Amino acid sequence: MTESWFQQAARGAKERSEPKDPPRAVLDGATLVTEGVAKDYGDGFGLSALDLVVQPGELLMLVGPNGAGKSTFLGLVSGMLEPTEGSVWVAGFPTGQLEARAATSLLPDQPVLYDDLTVNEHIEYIARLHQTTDWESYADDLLEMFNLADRADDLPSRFSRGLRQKTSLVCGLIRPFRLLLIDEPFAGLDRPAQETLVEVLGDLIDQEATIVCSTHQLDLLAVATRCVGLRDGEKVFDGKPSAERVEELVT
Amino acid sequence: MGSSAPHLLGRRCTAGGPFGTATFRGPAGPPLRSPPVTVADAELTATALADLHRARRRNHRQNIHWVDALYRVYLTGIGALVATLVLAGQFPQTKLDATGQATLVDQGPAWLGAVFVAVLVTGLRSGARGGPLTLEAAVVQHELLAPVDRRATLRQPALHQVRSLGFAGLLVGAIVGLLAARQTSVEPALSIAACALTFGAAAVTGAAAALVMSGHRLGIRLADTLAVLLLAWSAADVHFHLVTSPASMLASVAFWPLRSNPLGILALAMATATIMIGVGSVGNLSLEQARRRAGLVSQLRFAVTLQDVRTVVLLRRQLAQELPRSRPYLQLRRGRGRLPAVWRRDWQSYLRFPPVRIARMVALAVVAGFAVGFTWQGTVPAFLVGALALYLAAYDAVEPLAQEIDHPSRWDAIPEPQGRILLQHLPAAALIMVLLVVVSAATALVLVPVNVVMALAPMFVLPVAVGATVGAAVSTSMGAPNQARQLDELGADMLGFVQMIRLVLPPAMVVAAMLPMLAAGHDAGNLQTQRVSNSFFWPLIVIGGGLLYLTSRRPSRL
Repeated sequence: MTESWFQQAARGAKERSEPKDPPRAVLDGATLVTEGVAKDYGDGFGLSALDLVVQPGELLMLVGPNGAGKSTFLGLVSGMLEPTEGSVWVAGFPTGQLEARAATSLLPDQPVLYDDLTVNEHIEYIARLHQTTDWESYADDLLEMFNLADRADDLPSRFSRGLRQKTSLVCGLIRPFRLLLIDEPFAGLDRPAQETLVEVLGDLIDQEATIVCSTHQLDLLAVATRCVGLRDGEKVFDGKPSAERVEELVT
Repeated sequence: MGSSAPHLLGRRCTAGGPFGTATFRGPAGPPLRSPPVTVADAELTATALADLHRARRRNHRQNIHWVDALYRVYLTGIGALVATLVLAGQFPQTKLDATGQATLVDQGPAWLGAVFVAVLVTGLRSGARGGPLTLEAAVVQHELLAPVDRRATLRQPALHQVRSLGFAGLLVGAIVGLLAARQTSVEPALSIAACALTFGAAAVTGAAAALVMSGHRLGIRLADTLAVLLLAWSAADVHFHLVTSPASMLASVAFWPLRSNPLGILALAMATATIMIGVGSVGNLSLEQARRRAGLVSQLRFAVTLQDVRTVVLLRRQLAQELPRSRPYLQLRRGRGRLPAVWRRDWQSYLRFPPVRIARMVALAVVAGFAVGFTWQGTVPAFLVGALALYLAAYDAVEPLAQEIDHPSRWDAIPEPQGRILLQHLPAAALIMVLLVVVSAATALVLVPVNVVMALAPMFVLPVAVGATVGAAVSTSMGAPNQARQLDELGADMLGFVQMIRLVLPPAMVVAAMLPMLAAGHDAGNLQTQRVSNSFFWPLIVIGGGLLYLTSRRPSRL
């Protein structure tokens, strides 16, 4: 979306233009490409210029201490936050465009659910909004996997934190996507649900989905293919994940 | 791979949406390296959205307690009727003569336009911060991030908001029209219709201006620049008795029954254009702003339900992005002087007040001044508006004290009697309020003879400033009501009464401090100053009670 001169003047923003030509990595088929993407909240950078290329079939663990910029990065990629500088491309399209939104599924750290829809109504609505057909039996399987089948006709507004998180996971998985962004998915989940989630994520990368997951949960190392460490909004590590490395990056 | 994994791997679904008609296995689908990515079909999406809204309405209806809802409507109706009748009875009954009516038509549009500018400015500033729409977080997450045209999602809420505000404006306009008809020679029906149309249009334009700002993502600097221009233009109209600014033009519609002005049609056309542009651009709303507002507004609603005034104030400030300045206007030198620590800490807080907060406090003082002026001229209920304006200004003035309340563990750790600490915060706040009451007195000069202001101001400045300060401090230090405990201690019958007392008692202190004003009479040549002096006894008792209450406060009670 292009801003008129008075919009830019009013925002006090620097002259910036939309990327016209996609970066080489986008043309080469990378699912997620960020070019110098940065976010300034006004009191210092939430994220300094970050370049990242994530290929299909990669599960990237995003690791760092509190305030490192992990949620900011996920917000920028999903289009929920607007970058101060740089650009983000998802599935070949600038983030925020309809095509990029079609390819991106975001699971925020706090479950975001309607107060007045049941679990089944959530699933139906989200599936239909994304025009997924033949979703009913698939939804049944997901509900069973996360042990939610008995509560499918209940309102999640009356659920515990863990059950709400499970509902949120089902909502994020029921729709088609090529890039799955997950912020602290294990928070509130019981042990069986944590194991199920790791298995599901493993299956997804086998199917060439791309996953970016912000977590410190070492269980994910079983399926993670890459680890990116953030500290004070800057990338400090990009490489193979290991328990020692994750511990070091978190502390 | 656990036992549940085959469910996911073995499933094959048909994706008819974002990935075209390709089949996909599980949610991620097969490798799609060169996808014919298409966006969702608008018609199917619209059907899904309509079905969702139907399901939500159905669920919402199931949760409504109809008897409670009808009882609330009944009480609101009775309250509104009584308020209108009382208000109508307070205005002078005499009709304006021909000269007065001519003056009203000459000067009225500019004055009413100035009021409408305030509505417009509110809309512009709200829009610059992502308003006026307050969406649920789930709508932002699931609908605005979905691959559907955002206009389809947002048009309905936008139109709903514009309609609601327009209806509220219509109602206010109708009441003003009814009251105006009692003082002019205009037929009541005509007066009501013209005023309802004007106020409705003003409210709708305010909402539409906000939609234009948020839809075009125009920033707060531009909003402030426009606000200053509109205010200056309107002030010029008021001063020169002209109808040149858009707000004055719109206001002239209310005076059509007395004198038709074709510029009103132009204003209505501009209002219509603003609505069309605003609703048309709603799809370009910033998600970042929408999400921020969604989170804050849901908390705000909860705090309002609990009658937790301090939390409401804090959340409203966050919504308005009203943060303390990182650099104070004046840096107090560290460790110098022998000023008390609390006094010094209070001024450090005031020196970081954002300009918009200071402007709001001064504006409230000006409103109070005008309200006192109208009271002097015979509109007695205006007196309550003045008291409420000063009470709201005092809420900002007691900010340093409120910080103690917000951090009870820190307050608890101060090695002093805890209630005394709260009292030590009052002098600085009261001094700020003294300055504001002086502004009110200066404003009152517009409507009140100089000799009256000069005689009464010295008697009232201090009691009113202290009354407002203590009232706001009492309200702030009450903390959030613990309804469960109150229910246990007082029972259900007393709970409602106590809730009402909590709400009414603090502003009653400034009302009490201003009440002696009514004893002064209305004759500028024969002011009853002795009666005024004698009337100060009970207000002082009320304020003393407030101070005693503050002394008794403990962090453990919050």
